[in-house]
Amino acid sequence: MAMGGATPLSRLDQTARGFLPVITVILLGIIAVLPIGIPQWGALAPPLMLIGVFYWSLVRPDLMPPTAAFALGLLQDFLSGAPIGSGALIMVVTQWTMRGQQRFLANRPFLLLWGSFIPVAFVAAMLEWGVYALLNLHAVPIMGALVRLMLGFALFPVVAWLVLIPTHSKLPPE
Amino acid sequence: MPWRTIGERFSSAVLLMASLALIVLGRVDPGLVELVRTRMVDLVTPVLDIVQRPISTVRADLAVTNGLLDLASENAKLREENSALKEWRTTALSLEAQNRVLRGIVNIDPAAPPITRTEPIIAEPGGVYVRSVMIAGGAHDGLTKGQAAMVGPGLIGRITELGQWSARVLLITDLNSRIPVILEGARTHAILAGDNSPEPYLVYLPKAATVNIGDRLVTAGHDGVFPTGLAIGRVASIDHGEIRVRPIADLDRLEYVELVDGSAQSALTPEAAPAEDRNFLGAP
Repeated sequence: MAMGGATPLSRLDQTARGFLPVITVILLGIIAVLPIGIPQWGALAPPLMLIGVFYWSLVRPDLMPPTAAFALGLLQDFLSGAPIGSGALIMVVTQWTMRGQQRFLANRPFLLLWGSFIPVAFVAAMLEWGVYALLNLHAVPIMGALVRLMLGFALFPVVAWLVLIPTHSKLPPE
Repeated sequence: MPWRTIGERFSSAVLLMASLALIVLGRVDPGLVELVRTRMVDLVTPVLDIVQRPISTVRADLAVTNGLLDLASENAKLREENSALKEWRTTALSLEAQNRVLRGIVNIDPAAPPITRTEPIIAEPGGVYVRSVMIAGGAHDGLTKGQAAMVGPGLIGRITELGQWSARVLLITDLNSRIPVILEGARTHAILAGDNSPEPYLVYLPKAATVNIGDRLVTAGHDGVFPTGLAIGRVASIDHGEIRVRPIADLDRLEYVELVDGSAQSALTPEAAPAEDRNFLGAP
């Protein structure tokens, strides 16, 4: 891998690679809303973008700063039809929580990383539920949020192995 | 690193406040937020439209393969259905003749709901608390806000957000969906309300109303947006006064929607007695 600052072209290459984490999360967001024909897929809404933001905030917080998490959350809100700002809130909180955990969780067994996604996804689900219930003044069933949480947990290794970990090796050095 | 210059000028705390402010703004000024949202979705629409194409092809191929696998049982089922339908056809023909005569007497123009456009679904986002689909057609294609969306014979929802090139259809199962309906047969008026479950329920039903399982529901057209008489569903269950309706359209497998022209109101006028309307619409 070329080191940064060698030639203008390689610097451009490094810069472009720096945006890869954000690009992967955008792709995950598009995958999450595609009409793939699984009944109730839209209603289950696996939190694919959350998995991405969680992962990158932990392993490369320099490439997933608060601003990027905020923008990605907004994108999710635009696509999903959720109240604007709720996704942004969740992503900023997730980024904030995870970026300090690098020294505890980085280079540890994958299972630990996977397990630590549960509390984060739980907080995200509660935030989403709370914002929605508050805005609609209607205590919507919490079941949907919990199903989504479980689905996110189940899909975490799939997303990590198919998208996130392969991307990891393409990133510029920290 | 690229982000160091762009990002990190704003701390997480500031962005947190910004998110909360946006949530409140969306509540205070829904119009502005909706405008921004439709513009943003317009930008993403071409991407979604292109990406969903191979997926719909695969879905169509899968359907063909599945169809080949259970050809025999499907045939048997169809033969059975066909004989039943033949009987119905006789009934339908005599009813049609009778209907034509009666329409001639009262001088109304039989108007089927005019389908203006058929649009593919490009995204099925929803999320846990929102039941909606996005379609690849917008104001530029002549669609209007509030237009009724159908799949085959059944209503699925209405356009709630309209961009230039894209639109969001709020499904009848969404928590915020309220549609004035008439129960065919008894001609009782009610509102069909969604609660994010697959089967919406009836509210504001007159106390004296008799409702039976299997009763058909059609749009009442009270809102002035929907044409009258679009089929929605059938009463599926009555449990402690909670009346659940099963939609005719299969909301789980949506691939395209048909938009009904709302401006050309069906000539069939709602049969509501206005006094009765006020009674149950005003009641909590």
